[in-house]
Amino acid sequence: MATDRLARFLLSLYPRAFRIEFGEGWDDIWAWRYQTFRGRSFPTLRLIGAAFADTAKALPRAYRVAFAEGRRDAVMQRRGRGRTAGGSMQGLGSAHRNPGRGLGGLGRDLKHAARGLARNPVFTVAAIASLALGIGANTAVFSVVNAVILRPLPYQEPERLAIVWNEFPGAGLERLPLSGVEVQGLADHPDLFEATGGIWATSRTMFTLDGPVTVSAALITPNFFGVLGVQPQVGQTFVREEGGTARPRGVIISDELWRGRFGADPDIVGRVLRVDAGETIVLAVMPRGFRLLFPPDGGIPDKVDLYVPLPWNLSATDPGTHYIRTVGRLRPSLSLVEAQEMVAAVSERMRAAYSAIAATGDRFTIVPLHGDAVRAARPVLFALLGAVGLFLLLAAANVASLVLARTMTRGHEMAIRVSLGASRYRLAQVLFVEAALLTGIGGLAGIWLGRGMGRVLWALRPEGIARVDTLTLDAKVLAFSLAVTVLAGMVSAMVPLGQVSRVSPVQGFRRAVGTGSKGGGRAREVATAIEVAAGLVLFIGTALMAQTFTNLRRADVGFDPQHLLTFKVSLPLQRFPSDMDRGRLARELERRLETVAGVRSAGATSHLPFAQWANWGDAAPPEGVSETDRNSFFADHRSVTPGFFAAIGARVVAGRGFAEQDDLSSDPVVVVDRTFARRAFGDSDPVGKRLQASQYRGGQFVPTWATVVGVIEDMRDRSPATLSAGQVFWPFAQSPRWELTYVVRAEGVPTGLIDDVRESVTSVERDLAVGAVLVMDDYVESVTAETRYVVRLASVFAGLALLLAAFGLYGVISYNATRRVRELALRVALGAGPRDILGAVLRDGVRLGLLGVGVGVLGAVALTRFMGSMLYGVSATDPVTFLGGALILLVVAVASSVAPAYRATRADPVVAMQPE
Amino acid sequence: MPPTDSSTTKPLTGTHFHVLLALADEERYGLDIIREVERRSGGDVRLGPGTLYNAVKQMVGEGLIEESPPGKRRASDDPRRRYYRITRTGRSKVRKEAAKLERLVRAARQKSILPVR
Repeated sequence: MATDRLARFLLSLYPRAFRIEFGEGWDDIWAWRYQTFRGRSFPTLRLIGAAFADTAKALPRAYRVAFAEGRRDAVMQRRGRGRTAGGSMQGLGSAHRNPGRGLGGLGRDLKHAARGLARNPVFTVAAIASLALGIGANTAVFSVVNAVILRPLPYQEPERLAIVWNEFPGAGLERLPLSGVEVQGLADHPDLFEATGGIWATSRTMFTLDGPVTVSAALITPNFFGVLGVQPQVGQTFVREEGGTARPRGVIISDELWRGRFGADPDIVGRVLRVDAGETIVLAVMPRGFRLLFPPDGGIPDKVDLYVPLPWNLSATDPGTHYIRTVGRLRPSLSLVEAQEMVAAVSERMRAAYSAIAATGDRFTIVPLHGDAVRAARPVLFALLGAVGLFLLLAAANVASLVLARTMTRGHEMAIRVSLGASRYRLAQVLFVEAALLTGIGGLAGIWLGRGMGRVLWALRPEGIARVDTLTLDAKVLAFSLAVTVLAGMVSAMVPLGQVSRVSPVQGFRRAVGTGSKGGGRAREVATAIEVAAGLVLFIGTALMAQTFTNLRRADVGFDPQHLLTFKVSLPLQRFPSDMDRGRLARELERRLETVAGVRSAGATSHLPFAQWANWGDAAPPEGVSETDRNSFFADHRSVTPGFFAAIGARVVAGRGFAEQDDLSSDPVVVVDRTFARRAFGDSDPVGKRLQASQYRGGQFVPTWATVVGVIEDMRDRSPATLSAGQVFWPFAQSPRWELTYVVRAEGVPTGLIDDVRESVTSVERDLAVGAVLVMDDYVESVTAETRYVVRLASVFAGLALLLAAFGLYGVISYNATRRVRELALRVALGAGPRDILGAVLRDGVRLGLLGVGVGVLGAVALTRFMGSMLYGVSATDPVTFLGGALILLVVAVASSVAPAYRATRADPVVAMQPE
Repeated sequence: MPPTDSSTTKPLTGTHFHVLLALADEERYGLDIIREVERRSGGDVRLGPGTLYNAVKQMVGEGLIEESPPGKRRASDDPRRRYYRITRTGRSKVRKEAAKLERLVRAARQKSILPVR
């Protein structure tokens, strides 16, 4: 039975005295333990976990006791008998007979082991380098995992912070923000959250001595910072006053803005700022390094320069406009499950109270802020952790193979020891000390290497992965590295220990090559096959990611991202209250930009594709759809200028784009994308049909009937990998939002246009700020950055893995060939040609390669499934990738056998056949 | 190892306390001790055989428990098994430890960390 085998294996790890004293009944305990796990999930895994925990805890103590007893016995013997044996044999004789020799003996063993390692520098350096690379890679990746995922958020009692998302079940949408009345609804339940805060990100134009600049801004509920438990470093935060608005009037600025724009002015509090159309005063400065650590898809940037209180009473806002990201501090006694029930009840009451909320069918879900904030980074980092874990397995197998080779060549030494009376336990002790020394040095070198590698990983990290600023080697990382070291040590030391039982004096003295330990050879072959297998899995995983990266780069996003310069312009309502004025201004800017030398075309949109926090969604039902089905026609809404489609390179597939005449004086018109056209109108021609879209007019969103005048090819606007959710475009003049992003197609390098573009914008309107200037290629770059990161790092490990596997194969095949020298010589003597000999040795390599590839393919099938969510345009079990990887590993296997095979053909049969 | 003074002064570890408690009413063998400890702790304390036998070895050495001679066992007992029983030293030690814990619990109640019964 499997538990019996496990129990026997575990027992075999203990000192002999312990085994004799307590071996009886050992199997029963593990069998019973297994019974207690049956009926629960993964009983075998639990059993292995329990076995590991018990062994890790008990084994060191058992050996300590055994050593101590051995020393005491030795002292008593010496006292009783005096010194009987003398000379050099003493070291091998009596001491070997005793199971343990105490700490003095341990010191001697260590010295002996160190000398042995120093005598074999090639072996020692290869083994330590393997271990150090494996442990270092794991330390490095884990230190990033620790910084990004495990470290608590830098807020007060962060485990009590939760984020509330909205779901529109009818439209199949989730992770949406809440409307103002909904936030108020949650805040009105103090038995749920101790405090509830809301935030909405936007931008503002701030006027400085250098002229207008665009700064990132967030509109927050008065107690937002109170919810996070963060206080400003200078000044005071807002207080909620009667009616729900904030007091005192003013803004809170970031430390970066304070230092960057105001030279860390100590009198900053009370200073007057010109923001948008009005004046305001600075109330406070947030602490240095303060970040908003929200999920990346939450639409909240981590660095915000200006915090402004939401200027309206939340309970009086439109219940159908969802824009506020909501975070709450859970009551200490409340579990997440209870909280979920309570928020569900609140959303139910909201649906009953407001028809607009009933129409979208809002349902709240609550998730811990920490888990949600690191959600996106998790798959990437876990994939890397998996890759370095495999790499460590491979490195440990490599060391095991090296140690085995060394143990086998030491057969003679071992035999002498046994014949002088050393117990097998004593031999194991010697080998164990050596392995421990090797692992110890490898581990220390690995941790040192890991620190450096961690810094490199950190420096290369893509923006989305980590939004914290520091990477430290803390206790958690060290504990992890230690565990990894022990694990690697166990794998690389336990396998050779198994060989000790096979040592016999007779065999050891037969020095003739060709009669070496067969079992050792087999174990070495297994270790090598593991190397090949782990190398193949790594290779396949890396190849899949590399293909994903290429596919993302080549994906047809529905527009041409090359040679595009983009920048943002705000048209604050206070300054441009008239819809007509904003429409006209946008058009005028477009015209002026088109005249700039080097500009091919220009246009603007309210929501730039791939931009971080761009969303405006609403139902846009065609005619004849009932109130209950409206939500099936949910679409992203955008307002674009007439030049936009041409400038960004979108393709109009039916009807027309927008023209100058499409303004407030003409009939409402929209353009839809292909996905939405198919959803709303099926196969019939959408041009000329009507739908009710959300129009931004007079400062609010109004459902308006509009005629479809054109259809464009889908544009992927969330990421190159995400298909369009359906888009409806308004002419900007008919739906003039307060913010727009210009896209300027350049004839040459887009960055060369920046100054001219800025100048032409201010020539139209002196107080307009040009912000967020970016090249569209950089956006594409940034959304594929995570994949590229994984590909780069995994390639390094996969390359090293192939190299290590090749070395491992080379070693084993060389050894096998040497062992077979007599057989091969006999064959030559019997008339075999060099080609036969070459074939015989190469076959050996192919056999090992095939074994490893077989196991590796199975391993890859099992592991690449977990990569599914990270792949794009390639299946997790892509046959071409699998086949290619298998072939490459086989080529490596053959290549590693060529040299030994060639050597075998040159062996002189006469010499080989000579008796010793 | 003969009983030493240190056994009376050193505080008991959690495992030792549990094992002594399990042996307080009757003599038991390895698996039996593990089961009894697990049952009484409501599944909180799960001893593995390695941990248990290390503890047993140490406690025999410190004179807190002893192996009961085969002749004195009950007829139903399996002769291959090693049975252990608590010694007088062990009993006094576990009693002292329990008293200490009781004082601590009382202190916790006074500080309102535990509800007062």
